[in-house]
Amino acid sequence: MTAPSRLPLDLSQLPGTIRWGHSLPAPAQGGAGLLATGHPEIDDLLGGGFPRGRLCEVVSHGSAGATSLAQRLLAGVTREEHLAAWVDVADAFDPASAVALGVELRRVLWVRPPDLAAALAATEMLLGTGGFALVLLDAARTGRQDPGAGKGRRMLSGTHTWLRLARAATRSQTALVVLPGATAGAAGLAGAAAGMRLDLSPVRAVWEGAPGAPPLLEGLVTRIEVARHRGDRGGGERRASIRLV
Amino acid sequence: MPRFACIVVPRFLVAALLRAEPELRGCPLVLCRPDGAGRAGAQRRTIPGPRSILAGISREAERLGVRVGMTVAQALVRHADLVVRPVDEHAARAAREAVLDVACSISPRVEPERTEVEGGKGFEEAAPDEAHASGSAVCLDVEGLGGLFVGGGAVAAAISARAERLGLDVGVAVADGKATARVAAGLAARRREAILVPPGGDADWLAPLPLAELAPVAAASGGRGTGASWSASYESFQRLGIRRIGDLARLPLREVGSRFGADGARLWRIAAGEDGTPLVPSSPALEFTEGVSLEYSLDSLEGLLFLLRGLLDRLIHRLAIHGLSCGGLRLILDLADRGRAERVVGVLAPTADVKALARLTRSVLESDPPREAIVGVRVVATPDRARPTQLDLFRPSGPSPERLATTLVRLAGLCGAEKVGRPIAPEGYRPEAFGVARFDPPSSSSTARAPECEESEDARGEPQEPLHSARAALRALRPPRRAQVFREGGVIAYVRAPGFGGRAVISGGPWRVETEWWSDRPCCRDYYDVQLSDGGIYRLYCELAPPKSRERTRTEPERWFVDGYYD
Repeated sequence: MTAPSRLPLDLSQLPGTIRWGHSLPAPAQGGAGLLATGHPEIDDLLGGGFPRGRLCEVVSHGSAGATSLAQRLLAGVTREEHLAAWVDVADAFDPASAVALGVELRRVLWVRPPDLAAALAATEMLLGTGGFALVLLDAARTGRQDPGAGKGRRMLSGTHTWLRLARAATRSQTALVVLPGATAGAAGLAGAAAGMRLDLSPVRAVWEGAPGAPPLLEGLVTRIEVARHRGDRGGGERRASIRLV
Repeated sequence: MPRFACIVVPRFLVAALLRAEPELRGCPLVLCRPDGAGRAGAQRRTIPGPRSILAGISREAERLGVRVGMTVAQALVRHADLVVRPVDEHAARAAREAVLDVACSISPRVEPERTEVEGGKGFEEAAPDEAHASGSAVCLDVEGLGGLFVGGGAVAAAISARAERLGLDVGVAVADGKATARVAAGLAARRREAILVPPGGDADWLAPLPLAELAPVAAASGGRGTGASWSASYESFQRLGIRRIGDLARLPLREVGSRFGADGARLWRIAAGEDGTPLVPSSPALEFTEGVSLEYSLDSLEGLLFLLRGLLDRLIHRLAIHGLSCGGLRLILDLADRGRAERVVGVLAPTADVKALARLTRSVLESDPPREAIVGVRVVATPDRARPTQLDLFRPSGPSPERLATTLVRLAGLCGAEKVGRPIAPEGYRPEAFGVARFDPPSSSSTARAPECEESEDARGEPQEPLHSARAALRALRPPRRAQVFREGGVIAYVRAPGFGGRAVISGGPWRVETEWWSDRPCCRDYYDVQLSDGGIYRLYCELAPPKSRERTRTEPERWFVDGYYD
């Protein structure tokens, strides 16, 4: 018999709840057009995350942590229930370490093209499909100097391919992240087509362990510099040394 | 009151070939079977000879005086520029299935005409277009379809339109009785317009028609010696002065039955509009087949792909009228040495994109070409439904299922089917192990894990934690690279491998992995993480002998590999 007496009170509270949208889940991180990595320092450095609809290039050398950064982004994207695609020219994606970094593999489409030309075609197909929040092109070890790149090397000689991919990313509102690898040189692969470019350089590897025991690789400290961020109104230099993992 | 529709394909064998090779339309085309060979012999490549009997002729050939039953030599005397082709059994089978597809897309109760119609006296007179054709007619129950099609005219129009989409010109009729619909459909095919027999008016509509019009239904009764039986009955009716169907209906049933037997009584019932033959429905096909026989040997892949493109196009049209997509393909190639080759084309997700399927087929044929020239091709498609999706207001929407399916198929054609999918780490303790599963993203509306995903993950095991505790992402080197490792005081001092090398700055390990010792490929390794002076941090392992033989192989040199680096 208590229900009727409480009912008017509940009904009186209902309009306020609906008006303010309390039942709607708030976006976890980042802005509407940003994909957060879930790493606070990186997201702050990038102004909230990787922008959707842009081509972003992550240039790195050696074990600087570009793959860790990309997998962190992948983890953040899949955690938000978006779909992502990893175009893996080098066939270097390791599912076990991706899971350890929090990637939800069932939301990841893994494509292993035979060469860079096929990888570019696959990337364009994925961007044209739409619905993927993130398409990650891992072109490491297949840069301009790679003799095995074949047709892909010729395609990379001009920026028209990258401009086309950037336009496709804009149309589909997908964040296209390119890992060009060390062989691409300091300028990266996409050149002027990249809306954002991060330069990563290794600072140190973090080894820890008890005395007398073999040390364990615990993480990587990397210097991240935002070399280009088109549309960024923050101004000023953006660089920081961040422990990625 | 029951209502039946009947679909008849006039000049069935010719229509089947024209559907496969539309460029022959308008040609004086004649089809023949090989000299003295039966139907079984026609399954293979056949070359028409001068004594081959014509089994089908086009309208253009008929206008030139050519008739079914002539030999090729006789036909060529009438007109030297006839296009002579063997009967294409693959194309005929595909056309038969296409007619059934049209019928099944209209009504769930469909019965194909099962009789081998060989013609006979009165048959060519009544239905010359159908002589020597088999399976060219399909009956369907259209009772209760008023909610979908308003009136019999709408049903007939829908049938004609769908058949036209599949490359077939058909005659359609709707009547109360199955046999009446069959007779009317034959007439409609010749008149090139649909015939709607008014409800309850079968007998009145049939009455003025010549008795010969009953030939198809007499042949379709399936009795023993059907053709001869109809010829004898027809001659007897003619002698008795029974010229029209109405004349037969006016005779007493008892007298007709006593003189002409059960077949005669059945004809009387049809003529009187009292045909109660039930429709015997057949189950719809689970596979869709399109094929073509060649009169030449095809030894170029490009030519074969050109043929396949047409076959795929027709298959997709047939699937489309059922609202289905292609979930898998099988190619059956008849080889010139009378052998047969089969290729399975895996389709990652149901799709109706002909271009993507053609690309996928090309990649399969390029990777495994047939050993001999081709004389016949069949493509069998497994139907599947595109995955539906339920959108959610509060969650991100993924790609549309159809577009995703098409993309997956195109990606598989570009990279190979095994190179596209969802990454998984299979059960086990081999650090380098990985797998690829079908990419079937969970619905955006499901808050919990999709059951199939759970099952899949459980079945294959959750990915193992990466070896020891390294938390940086590993870039795998597949296959692992052989390395040379130099030690100083038992500690790794220098590493050299193809593409990199340097002094070891710091190293961690070893971490021993012993697994699958029960199998033929035991895995016994010591793993190390080594940071080299080139700035890279690599994962190395030393291959060990299995425990049982370790003593014996102690003197053998160590085998080192680099299977990845941290980045």
